[in-house]
Amino acid sequence: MVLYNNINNSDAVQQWNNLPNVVLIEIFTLLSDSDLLNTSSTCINWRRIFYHPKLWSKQRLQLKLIDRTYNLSAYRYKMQNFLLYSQLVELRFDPTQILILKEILQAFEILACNRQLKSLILRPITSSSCLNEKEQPTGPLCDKIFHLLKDVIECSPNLEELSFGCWIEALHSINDLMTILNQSRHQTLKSLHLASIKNSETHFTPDIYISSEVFSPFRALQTLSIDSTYLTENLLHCFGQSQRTPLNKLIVHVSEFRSDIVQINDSVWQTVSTNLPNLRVTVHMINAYETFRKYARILRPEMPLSHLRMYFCSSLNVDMLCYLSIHYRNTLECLDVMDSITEPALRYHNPFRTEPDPLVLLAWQCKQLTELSILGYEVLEVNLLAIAKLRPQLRTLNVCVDCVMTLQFGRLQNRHFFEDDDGEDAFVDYGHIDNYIQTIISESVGWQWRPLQKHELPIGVYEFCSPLELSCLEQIHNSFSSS
Amino acid sequence: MATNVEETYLYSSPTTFKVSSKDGEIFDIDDSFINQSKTIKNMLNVLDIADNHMPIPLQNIKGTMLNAAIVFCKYHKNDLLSIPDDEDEDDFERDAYEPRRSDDISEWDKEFIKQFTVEEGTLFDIIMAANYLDIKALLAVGCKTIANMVRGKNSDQVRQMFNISYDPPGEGLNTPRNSVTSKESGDNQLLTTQEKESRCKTPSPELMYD
Repeated sequence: MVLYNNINNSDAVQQWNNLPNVVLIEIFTLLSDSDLLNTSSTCINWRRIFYHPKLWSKQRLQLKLIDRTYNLSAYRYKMQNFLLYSQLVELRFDPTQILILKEILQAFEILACNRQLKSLILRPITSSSCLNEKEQPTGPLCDKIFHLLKDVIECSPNLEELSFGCWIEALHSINDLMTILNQSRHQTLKSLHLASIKNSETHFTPDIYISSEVFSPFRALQTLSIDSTYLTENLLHCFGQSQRTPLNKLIVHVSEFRSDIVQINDSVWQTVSTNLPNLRVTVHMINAYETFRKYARILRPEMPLSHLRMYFCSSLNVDMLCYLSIHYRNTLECLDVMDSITEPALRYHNPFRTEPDPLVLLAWQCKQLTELSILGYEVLEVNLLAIAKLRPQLRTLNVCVDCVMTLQFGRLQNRHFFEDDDGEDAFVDYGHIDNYIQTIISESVGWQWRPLQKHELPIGVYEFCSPLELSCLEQIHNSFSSS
Repeated sequence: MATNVEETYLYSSPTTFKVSSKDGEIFDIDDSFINQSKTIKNMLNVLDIADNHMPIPLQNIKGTMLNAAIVFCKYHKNDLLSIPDDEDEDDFERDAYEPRRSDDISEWDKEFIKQFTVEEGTLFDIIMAANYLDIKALLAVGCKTIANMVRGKNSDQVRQMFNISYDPPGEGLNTPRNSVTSKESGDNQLLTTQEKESRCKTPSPELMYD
């Protein structure tokens, strides 16, 4: 090579190939993905370092197997080269396809030998594996997977996080899994997600009883998500009796209202809140169409509720909003409501009535509010403005553009509308928002605000019949991982 | 006060030693060097060197590099703790993995490292010296410099830059570590023809970023 003709030091040739591993690793940890790829393709030694555990073990390994033809090779590549020593693993997969479950089973076989695993997050794209009855039953494969999961738990002394991602099949093995976790991982486990989404219309889920005593040894647990069925006074006693537990996030899933559901006494919540002042409760209501009175059996006044997500419950109303603003004014940070847009659109309040809008009241009362998302309900343009002015700290303010309503009072004379605040006629318009209003809202919250267009919304908002999980499972999974 | 006593002790004890390089040059080293070079520190801990006039032989390092390392350590004697040991760093909560920074080389370090070049082989030598002496700060400056050099370059350009000969593909270049499991039974039905073809070739690391 011309460049190096003048080299008088013969060592210089080939020397860079043989940089010590420690040095190469040090260099490689400084590179971005694309630079790492290019740099490591230069020679055998450098490529070898590309696969060094030190470069990857602390990155979250994301294995995706959603479409069987598209991402299988990437899945296998990652599984075979990185899964054995990854500390943080996330599996996204379609649990309804038997061939995909077979691949997942192999991943679990490797994980059972991993021993360094700190976090295992399952993210099935639907909550149940048996949506399609025509195909082969997936049950036996799921059983095998969960059988292997027991080995994985036993072999991972550092396990800190485990999430079933609402996968209902986990419920069948939940007692065995809990026993193993209880015996071996109660000192390390910080985050445990057992909550599911039950949908009685599409599949049958058996009643599975978990004794609340099982939870008492988990002294390191910070985040726990469970179904409302398991939320009992005993369970709360386990965590709330002493101040030793670091539990600060409890997620409760409500997807069915059973007649035997036990209402938790307010005094229990009071004790828990006193002993665990940092505890915040998140409630997810999924497809739980019920009267407000029933919701109040879960939403107790003394509960330190910080996040409430109501997906496809069609139940947001004045009572609900007033209840929230009275009892959770000091804790509520996020209200996320999503329903399908119907004709006529859902209303939480009659805009023609003179009393103040309950959503604006809520924004005024709840001083911690940073996320507000109301999809599928009519929202008055001026009310959005009021909310933004009242809560300039809002990081999220989501409404569908088609649900934004402008209302003008005036008089209709000779087929012409004259604006007049005292007028008896009203002019209602949907689907567009004044640029001026948009600017004021943006200025108030400090970021570029705009209502969401159809294509930006979860599919279920416009398509009534789509499986509701397609619209909300992602959001629920995200809420598990954010702490 | 306890700290004062310790300081007086440090300054009163004989803290200069002699080291000799590969090519026989002899250098005096003091606290600043001993504290930053883990290798020398360990050596002094293990070997009970009573006579500090006898030079410690460092057979792997050329005199020019040893001299440079001593200069570097003198300048950095006061920022011993600037490079955190990331071994114990608990980044469990860190979901989005960010590569570490390499654009934070100080002006002095930049000037210092400029005297070493790839063409003369000195950049390689100083990195090897830093690695051998286990001087974390110096190694970090060297590695950051290399990282900054390869940034945005394709593999041909990197090869040219460091005069690295090209290894024939397939024979290691793109071959991953030996497969962990090779259970293939029954899963071939999942493969399309295209995949079967691509499977005969070795998979590419690009798959890591799908």
